Amino acid sequence: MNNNPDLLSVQDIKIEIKTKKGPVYPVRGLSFSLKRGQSLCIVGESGCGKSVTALSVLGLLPKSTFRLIHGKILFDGTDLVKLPENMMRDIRGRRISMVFQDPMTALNPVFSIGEQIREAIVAHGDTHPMTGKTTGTPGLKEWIVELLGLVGIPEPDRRYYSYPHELSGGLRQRAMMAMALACGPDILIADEPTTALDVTIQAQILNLIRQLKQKSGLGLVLITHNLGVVAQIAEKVLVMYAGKAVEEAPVDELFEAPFHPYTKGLMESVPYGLPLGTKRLRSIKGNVPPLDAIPSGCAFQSRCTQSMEICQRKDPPLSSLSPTRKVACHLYTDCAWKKGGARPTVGKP
Amino acid sequence: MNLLVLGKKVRVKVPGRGGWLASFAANPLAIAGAFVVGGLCLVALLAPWVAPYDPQAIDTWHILEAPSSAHLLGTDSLGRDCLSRLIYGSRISLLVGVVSVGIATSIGTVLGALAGFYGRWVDSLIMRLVDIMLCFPTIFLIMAVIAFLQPSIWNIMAVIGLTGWMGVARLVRAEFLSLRQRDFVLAARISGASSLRIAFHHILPNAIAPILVAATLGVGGAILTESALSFLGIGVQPPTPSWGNMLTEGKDNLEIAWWLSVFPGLAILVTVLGYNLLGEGLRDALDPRSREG
Repeated sequence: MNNNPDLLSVQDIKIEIKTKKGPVYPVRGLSFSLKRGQSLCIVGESGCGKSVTALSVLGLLPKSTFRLIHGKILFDGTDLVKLPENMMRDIRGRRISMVFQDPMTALNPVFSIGEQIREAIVAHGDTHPMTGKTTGTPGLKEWIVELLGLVGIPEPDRRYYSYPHELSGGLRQRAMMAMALACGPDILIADEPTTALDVTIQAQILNLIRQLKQKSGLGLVLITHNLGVVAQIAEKVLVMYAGKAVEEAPVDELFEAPFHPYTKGLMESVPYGLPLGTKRLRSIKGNVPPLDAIPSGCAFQSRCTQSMEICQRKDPPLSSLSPTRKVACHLYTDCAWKKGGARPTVGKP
Repeated sequence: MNLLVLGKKVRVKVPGRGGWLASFAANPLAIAGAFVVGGLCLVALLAPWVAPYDPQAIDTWHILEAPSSAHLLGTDSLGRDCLSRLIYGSRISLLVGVVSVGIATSIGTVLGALAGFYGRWVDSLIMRLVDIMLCFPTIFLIMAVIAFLQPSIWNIMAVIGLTGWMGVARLVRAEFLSLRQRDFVLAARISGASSLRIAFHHILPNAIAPILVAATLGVGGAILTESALSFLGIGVQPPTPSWGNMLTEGKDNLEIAWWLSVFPGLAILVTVLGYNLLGEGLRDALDPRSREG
């Protein structure tokens, strides 16, 4: 398909949390899109709205406190924001699925792994979308065992009957993955899927995700704060800061030349295969501004090493620099450097 | 497990090893409770075979006889064998205990689950209903209701059940409040499960342990209530033997036939104690927080 349309298109969403002190906005006008089979990484520090965004796509933000006040979430042409709950349920799991950060709590302790996956399938009615088999038929169990094998669980026929507490963290995360994939979704949202795992297991899980993506043409939205993960998995990267996208770029170009000072800062704080002692790691000074105290103008200005006078007045919009790259920073708007500002340095950090 | 601490060997109890059954078996009081309850169930089931006499057979030649080899626990004012009546009475007690607690637990579980899961106005409504129900002095409420209905064993069970669900409802609500925050609930939502399915299929099994404990403790209470009602003459009606109405008959002859009051009284005591010990034992075994380290 050459004219591959966007499978998921999030358009300018704004999310409000009601608090006693008044509303705060964890997501303030975020847009991104994902084509079928593409993988998108959303990167950012804790508290910048990544997980809230993910949950809003699935329509699972707790209604008592969260409200989507602006924007559209188009999935395959339908706006999920306006979709009634019973139709949304049909999309969850079957079309869009999700795995969490912590595999310890995301599995129900009283059901065996196999039963839980069966449950995820049964929730969508009697016949299975991929096999067409009725869920009561004996073939379903074999299919689940096969799925467990597919996500790399050893001895899947025995593990079918294992309870979550009998499995290690890595195996549990694989089981979560099997559960998320059980109904053959078009998009998998992974919210920091490797954060709770140790490094060797992390690499295995990332490999698994990559393989699954290649095999099944799965669209992937990976939420992480780990740039190493980004480099391994992503095709497109979205850098978020304080509820907004500050930079969007294909992964190679981003690592080649980050534009936004925040992206640069992130990269400078990660050791890239450098021999020890050759370079000091730098941290970004300060913290993400709390939700109730986001400054006017650019949210990053107080931590930015290149902040200018205009940054305090005007919030830079996300604008295209090239067909593939977008950045939200005054350093790159024409007016800034025409009026004598420093021309951006494009190059390695 | 042996650990070497400062040169001394110290025995360390590793908590959680062997599961709850092992922890239950290590508690002698719980085992005693289980034996009492188990024995009682056996006796009740096998009543026609264990009882030496017909519990309602009147024998005017042997009135108010003290315990002897012919009548192990003596006879009452109509010459009926006390032991046989006690054995048949256990059927009533168990039936009332189990059925009324079954009713109470079902109502309490469903209402508590709805309150804890949906929260907001559903929660407020159900919890206020609980508060109102708790305001009534139960025994008087039951007496008032029985006064309107026929005092039959079925009415007794229904009324005890309908007035005993509040504790379970509060318990289940509290469990649901904490369980619904867990990630697996979100995971179930993400795989497309409906709210009711999540509440009763995914969350409820996680709350079974405390419900089981409450139900076990509840059986003891229900048996006690039934005995009280029968003693007051508004429960199981004579000539059907129940421990409560045996006590009533006993009190009329207390000065000359102590065995008529003592044995039914002891039966009630031991049974309720047995259920309470079993319940406490289950609680300790199923809830790792209350387990002794």
